Formats: sequence, C-alpha cells, structure tokens
Amino acid sequence: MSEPILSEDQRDALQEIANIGMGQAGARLAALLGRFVHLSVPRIRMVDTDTLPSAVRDMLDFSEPVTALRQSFRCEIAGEAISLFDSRSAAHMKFVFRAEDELNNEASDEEMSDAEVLSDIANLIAGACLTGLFEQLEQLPTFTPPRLIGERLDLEDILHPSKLPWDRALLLEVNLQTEDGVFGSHLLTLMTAKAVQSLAAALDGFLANL
Amino acid sequence: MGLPVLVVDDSTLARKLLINALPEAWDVDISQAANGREALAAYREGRASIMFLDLTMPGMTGFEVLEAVRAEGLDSFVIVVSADIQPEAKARVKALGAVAFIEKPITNAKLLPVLKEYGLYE
Repeated sequence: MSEPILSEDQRDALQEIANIGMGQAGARLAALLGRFVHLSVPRIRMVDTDTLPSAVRDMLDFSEPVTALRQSFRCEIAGEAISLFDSRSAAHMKFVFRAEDELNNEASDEEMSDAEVLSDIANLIAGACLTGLFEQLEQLPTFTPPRLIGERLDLEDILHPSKLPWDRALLLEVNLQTEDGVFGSHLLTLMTAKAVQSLAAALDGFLANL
Repeated sequence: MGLPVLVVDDSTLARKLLINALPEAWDVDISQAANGREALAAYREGRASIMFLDLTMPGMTGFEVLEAVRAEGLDSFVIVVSADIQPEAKARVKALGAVAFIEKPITNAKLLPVLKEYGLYE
C-alpha cells in the first residue's frame, strides 16, 4: 500500500486553498466581533494517531485546557473538524452573546454554557473555512452540527487514540486570533488515509487545470 | 528591457497563479520572492517597480514588508493580493501605501482593471 503522503506540489496547493478558506472565515469572524483578526499560515502534517496529541501540542504551543467541539464534513472527501477554544475566548463569546441579547431585550438570568456559546462560532469558522477550501476543488461539503467533546480538557483527552478510529491521518491546522487577544480559535481538520488519497487526486486535478 | 515586477508569496502555487494572470503581451521582467526578506532584497535591487504582495506569510507578514518598503521611500506600486478579505485589512494596506487590493484567488479579470487604472498596462 502506498503511503498517503502529499507531494510537495499537493501540500503547497492545499496550504494555499486553505489560506483562501481561512480568509473567508476570518472576515466573518471579524464582522461578528468587530475586531481585526490575525490569520495564521495553515499548517499541514501527516500524523500517527498515537502521536496526535503531542503533534498538536507542538504545533499550538498550548498549555491551557480547552473547550473542544467536533463536527464531521463530507463531500467527495470526508473528515473531522475539531474546534478548540481557551477559557478566555469562551468568556469573551459569552460577553458578546449577552450584549446581543440585551440589545434585543432577550436578556435572561440563565448562564449559558461554554458549549452553547461556542457551538455557533465553531460552526461559523469550520463552515466558512472548509467550504472556502473545497469550493476551489469544485466540491461543496455538508456538515453535521458541532458536538461538544468537552469543556476545559487537556489535548490528550480530546485527541486520545481510542476516540479516533484510524491509525494515520492528515492534520491541517489554522488559527484565528483577534489582534487584541480577547478571542482565539484553532481549527484542526483530520482526514483519514483514504480521504487523503481522494484529496491528492482532487489537488492533482486542480493543478492540472491551471 | 521590461518593467521590473516582483511577485511575493510563500506559496509556489499562488506565485504561479499570479504570473498566469498577468497580461500575455505585457513587457515585464518578473522576479519572485517566497518571503518578506527575499522581497525586501529584491526591492532594494530595483526589481520591484510593481510589487504583487501576499499578506499571510510565515516570518515577516505582508503588512511588515509594506511598512519596511514605505520606510525606505516606497519606490514601488504595491498591489496586495490576499485571502485576508477583512475590510480592515484593505484599509490598513492602503494606509501603508499599497495602491490596490485584489482578493484571492487572482484572475486576469480582477487584475486588468487595476493595471489600467494606474496606467501600468494599456
């Protein structure tokens, strides 16, 4: 069996189309928060599932626990999108939602959970980013609603091998941070070896049509 | 000798797409830079009468390249070509002296009006 590793040209193309998807997510987030958003350079790695937590930790330079939500996407290529938020970002989104509710006179005394507040934002970021990415490969992904993995978890708990039904996956990471640091989100996209083969073929088709 | 044009993007694909989108009959001398440092070196060698500049790059961002170029006299038509489509990103690069902003993905149809507006291509 051939190793599902992208060639340099394929990796470069994926990084560029991910950049375009992320730009669309960044613009929507900036409009929602009324703040300037810094976009990261998308990072791409092939990882073994048992080394995924350490690979992600190296990438993100994370020490804090995070709230994580997960959703599946499907077009010709399927995968999982995992959105990570630190507690400061969760608190800021609560503040934004509460302010909006007050504006609409819908203020309630009930405290919203991190999951409720972050579900919409995870959906917005993952949806815009991956739709923008796959649009360039002439595919339109559909998404399952975000599902909470857990609040204030360590990466090892989120990305534990027993929770991920494959041995080796492609990891694509993008990071959106407001300039003032009040909100940040990491989006991890995981695709199985089989999906990576479909992705490689789609990228070849894209590159051949230039 | 053609007009010195510099294409700055960390992505090989993005540089190729940009070069493909240039008018075929345009008499230009194209150089490429894969990061901010290379871009500034090329600018100092006079290879950037026109600079097509990406914003999201590792190390030095396009914003930082633009600031450095401006500090050195801004002897270049800088056209930003970026996926960062926030209105604030556009406003910032214009304030830093870029003449135009083109949203990725780049096409000939998006590029031509900008070149014509500034009399860079008839």
